[in-house]
Order: sequence, then structure tokens, then C-alpha cells
Amino acid sequence: MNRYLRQFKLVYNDKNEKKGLLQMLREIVLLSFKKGEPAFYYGGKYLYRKDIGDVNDYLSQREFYDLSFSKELHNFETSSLLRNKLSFALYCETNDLAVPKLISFNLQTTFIYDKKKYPASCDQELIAFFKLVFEHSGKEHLFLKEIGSQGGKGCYLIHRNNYEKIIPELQLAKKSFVHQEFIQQHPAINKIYSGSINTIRFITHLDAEEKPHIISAFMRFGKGGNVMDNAKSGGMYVSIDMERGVLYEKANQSMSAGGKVYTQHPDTGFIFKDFKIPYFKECCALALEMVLFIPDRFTGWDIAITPTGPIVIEGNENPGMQTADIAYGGLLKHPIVKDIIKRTKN
Amino acid sequence: MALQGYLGRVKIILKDKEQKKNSFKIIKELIKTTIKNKEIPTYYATKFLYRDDSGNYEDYLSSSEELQVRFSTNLHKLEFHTLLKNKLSSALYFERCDLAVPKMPCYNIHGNFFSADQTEEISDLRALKDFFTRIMEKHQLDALFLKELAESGGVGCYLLRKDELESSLEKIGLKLLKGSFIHQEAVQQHDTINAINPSSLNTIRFETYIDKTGKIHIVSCYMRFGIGKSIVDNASSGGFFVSIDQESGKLKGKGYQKIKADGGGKIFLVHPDTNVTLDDIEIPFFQEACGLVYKAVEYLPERYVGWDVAISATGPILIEGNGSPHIILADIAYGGYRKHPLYAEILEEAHKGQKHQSRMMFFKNLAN
Repeated sequence: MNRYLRQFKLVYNDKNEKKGLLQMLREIVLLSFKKGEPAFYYGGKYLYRKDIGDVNDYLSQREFYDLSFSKELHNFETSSLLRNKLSFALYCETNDLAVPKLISFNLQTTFIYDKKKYPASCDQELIAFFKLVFEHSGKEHLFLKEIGSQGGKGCYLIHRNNYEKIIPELQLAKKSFVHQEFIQQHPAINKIYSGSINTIRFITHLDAEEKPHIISAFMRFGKGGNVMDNAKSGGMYVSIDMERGVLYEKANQSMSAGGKVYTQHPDTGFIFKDFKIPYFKECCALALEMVLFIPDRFTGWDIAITPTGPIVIEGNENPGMQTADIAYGGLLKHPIVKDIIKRTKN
Repeated sequence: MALQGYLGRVKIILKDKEQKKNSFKIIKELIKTTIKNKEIPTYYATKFLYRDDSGNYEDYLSSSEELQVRFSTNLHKLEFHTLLKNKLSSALYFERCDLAVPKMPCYNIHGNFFSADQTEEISDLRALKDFFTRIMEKHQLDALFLKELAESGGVGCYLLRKDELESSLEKIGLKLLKGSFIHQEAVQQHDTINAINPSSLNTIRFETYIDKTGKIHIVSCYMRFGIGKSIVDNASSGGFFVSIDQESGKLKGKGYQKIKADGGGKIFLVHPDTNVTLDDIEIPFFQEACGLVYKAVEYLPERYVGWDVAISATGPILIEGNGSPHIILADIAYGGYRKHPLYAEILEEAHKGQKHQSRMMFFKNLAN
């Protein structure tokens, strides 16, 4: 209930041009009848805004679940490879795919570097472990990601100059993490925001003829010193013109993070419109290649761009369709998504 | 269907030639167990509790206790579970940790076949035969053991022999192309184990537990043997299991076959194919097998796991770990887990967490 009250407040305070109250009420009632479920997503997807397009093109909650949990689209083999970040890293490295190098990892108190297990019963031992890893690997940074987490949770960046101070606070031995190399971001993207790795989220589909398709793509940016670019972490996302490989004009923030709309990055003032994404064609090719290696039928891929080309940060078998839906302007107008939803309903 | 299953089991019990308890005693025990556990003891038959020599029926775990141990959030982590349950993930992981596991020269995810030197898309049986011929020649192998990534209980396992490649692929080729399998070197089993049953890889199932203080324990172990021409030893595939005396490393007592709706429930003193007496056989490399299991738990610290270990001519080999093992066989092999000195704590720890709700824990086809 609190969530809906908060949403109502955000809608009320939203400074973007809104539809009239009567139109909103009419659309909510009609959508609820048409989709056979209350249109609670009306506020979260900004359908009350005037420039939103056709409200019928947006996925309802049930349609979102159909895409996320359909047995036709997902299976254990591929889902578990994607969900478990350690499995994903090992699998991609084995197949020479472009992913950040796995330097070390820990499964709770089991800390492993270069096939050897190291003790980690106290902070001193943990610090000694990372000292060894930094010295042997020669890396300046390590990016730690919790193996089973999603949505940017459980991610930490440690530096060889500050790890001794940070490690005790993180309580790493209570959870499980992959420790990856920290990738260098392309300088053109750093100009927009250099505090986080700003990734492109590609939504892909593998059809019945085993042909992969890119459904949509949007780019995420962190802000305010945050090392994560996820919308849930307060960041913003901008749609991509797929043909030209450039950003569109407006960046949206998720409703839970404030629901703001930006035309330029709030930290750097960089204007999003028409920014040409470096290596965009190579990014698309990599996303399609990933689908062939991990043939989940509906996947979200996070791809970062380094000075030398794209790199896959992770794959999500259950991608947050809310953001993709808003960025695309209603995924139901995409013929493939429309067809999938039709089939899952039958 | 469930009713058919129960009726099938009742039939097997009625036909069972082993010494049974009298009907009055069976009914009394069933009623007492039902009241005590507040559940119908469907396991009474499958755990052979109607037999005279089954010991104290109260020593055996109830079905709900088994489920609690198998799926408790306090004993199982989703990240460890997915690592174990996906056979490709666990093979890659254990290779990375340098544990003794069968070598995996290749694997496939649907029509994509991966080997060290190349990745290829295969869509017909001829290309499939060429692929396996090339791999077997390159690695000088006579056979490959194929295991489906998310199956368990011996389902989805195939032995592919070089000299029978064409006929085998005619039978299983399409299934291979549609599914996802790891392709491992077939383990050369130790002569002592081959003398008991050479047709399948006969593995030891170790159940391990990490206690409240973080100490690793082997809770129990038993050995499984295949029967007839079966290439797997699993009880659910018709095989049987024999207890192991952990101190001496010898097989102990009789072999039990699982009761199923359509048969089973037999007792074996000798292996039915080779007539080798089971009791008192010393398992080669048993201490090394225990050492390998302890090491596996150190590298993958899930609190309750069932590990399958084979004994090769040169030492133990870790075949796989099961993150939510079926405890029923271990319960029977031990003669009732409730009398195990560690089990009171295991149950207490299991009840400290809810059962996992994620469908990823239970099924292979759901993604939640």
C-alpha cells in the first residue's frame, strides 16, 4: 500500500507534462479490462505522461511474468549458467568469450586464487589473501560481485591502496563473490560519466529456428559518484537508435529512484542526444554471439565498451523488463515480443 | 497415478519373501508414526520398515524431515546449489580447483558442440559421428560418458563407445542434438570393483555435513552397484546399495534394492551377475576417497551434500556432488539416521531455516 501511495505522490509531483485526470482514469479502467488485471504498472511506466505513446503497447505485470518464467523461453541449463556469476565467468573464459578476467573468487570462507585455497578465518587472513592476489596479478583494482545477486547489489570496487581498510567492512566471507579485473571504459563514454562502467543492456531472443534477434537496447549511466549504472541504484537509462547506433534525447530514472527525466548527464552536463556509441556494431555482434553460446530464448545482456572493443559484463535470464519496456516505448509494438506473448497466452 | 504407485508397493511388500513383522505390529507402528509425525508414513514401505530386521522404526527420518534437510535455507545456498546441479558448471569449477574429476574433452548445449580447439554447430547425425570420432582419436579414447546437464538419478546418461559409435548415435543422436550434455572420459574402474560389477561405474555416495562450528563431517557412506547391462549404478535405475563400514572401509551386510511401483525391493548377499559376495569386501583407496570428499567440501562449502566418488585403478575420482540429495537410501543404509550422533544437530540446523521456495532448487525447467 505504501508503495502505491509513494507512487501516487511521485506522479502528482512529476513536472513533466501529464494527461488530464479523466483520461488517466479512463485509460486505467480500459487497460485493466483489456489485460484482465489491475493496471498497477500505469504509474511506474509513466503512462500518465503526455508523450508516452499508445498505453496498450506496454507489458502488463502478467505479460512480464510470461516472458520471465515461460518454460518455452528458459530452462535450467542456461538459466543457471547465467544466474550464477561464477559459472558464467568459468564458462565464458573456457570459450574465450569477451568477459572481464576472473582473477580469484570466494565461496564464503573458501578463498581461491590460482587453483589454491587460502585460509580466511579472520580479517588479517583476508587482507593477506588480497595482498597476494594484488601482488601476483599486478592489478590495480578488483571488482567484486556477489555470485547470486542481481540488480547491481553486492558489487564492490577495491583498489590495491585501499583494500586493507575496506575488506573488514565488506564481510566477504559471509557471502560468495567473483573477483574480476576492473575494465577500462572507452574515453568517449567516460566523458558522459566516468564514475561507473556504463553498460548497454541488450534484450535478445532466440527463435524456434535457433536464429538470434536483438529486441531492443538501451544504455545505462550511473550518477553522483555511484559505481553502479543500474536504474535501481539511482542511475538513468537512454534508448538507442539501433540503426544509427546513437543515443536518443531523453534519459529516464526509475520511478523508485525519483522518476526524473534528463536530457544531459546531471554530473557532467553531457548532452545525450545523438551521442555515437563507439563499437556499437561490434556490441550487437557480441550480443548475438552470446545467445549462440548460451541459448536462453529471452535474455538481457550487459555489455560495456572498452578502448579496444565491447566486453560482456553479465547475462540475465530474467531481465528487468520494466526498464526495457519504457526505453522501447512499449515492447508490445515489437513484432517478436507481440508474437511471444500471443504464444504464451495460447 | 500416485494411488497406482502405492498399490504397486503394497503388492511388492505382500510378495516380499523376507521375514516380515506381523500385521498387528505393522498397523500399530503405522498409527503411532502417523500421530507422532503428523503425516502419513508413506516411507514405511520404501524404507523396508515392515521387515523384521529393520531395527527400530522410530530411528528413521520422516518424509518432512528429509525435505527439511534437503531444502533448508540454513543448509543450502542457491549459488552452491546451481554450481552443483548444473553438471557443466560443476565440471568447470572442479577442473579449475584441480580436484580429481573425469576429464571433459567436450560438451554440447543443444546443437553447439564445444571442444578445446573449436566450437561447431552440428545439426545431423553424420556430422555428430565425425565430431565424436575426431574427439576420441585426438584424445585416444575408446569411450565417452555423456551426462545431461540438469538430470539426476542416472537419467540422461549414455556411454558412447568408439566401436559402436554409429549404432549408438542412431539411438541417442537426436536427443543429444536437442539437449545439453557434458562429454567426459569414461573412468577406468578399479579391478576389485570391476570384479563385483564391470558393466557400470559403481560409485560410493558420501553424505557430508558442515556443523555449527564449521567442521566437516562424513555423515555416512554406501556403495551403489548396477545390475545387468545397465551403465549406471543408481538405485532409481534398478541398481542396489550396500552400507560401508567407515572405519574399516569395507562393504557391510546386504545390498538393498529400492522399492518401486513396478518392482524392486530385493535383497542381495552376492551381486546377481557375478555372484561375488558383497559383505566384507575392502574398498580400494577408501581413505583417499574420504580425503577427496573432505577436499571437495572445502572447495564447495555447501552444508549438506551427497558426493558420488568412483574408484579408478589409480585412486578415487569425484563424479559429482548433489546439492539436495535424496536421503532415503542413506537412511536405510545407516539403519535409521535418527540414531546417528550428528543427526539431532543436523535436524536442528535444518529447521533454523525455511525450505527454499525458488523453483531453481527443485526443477530443471523453471527459471525462478
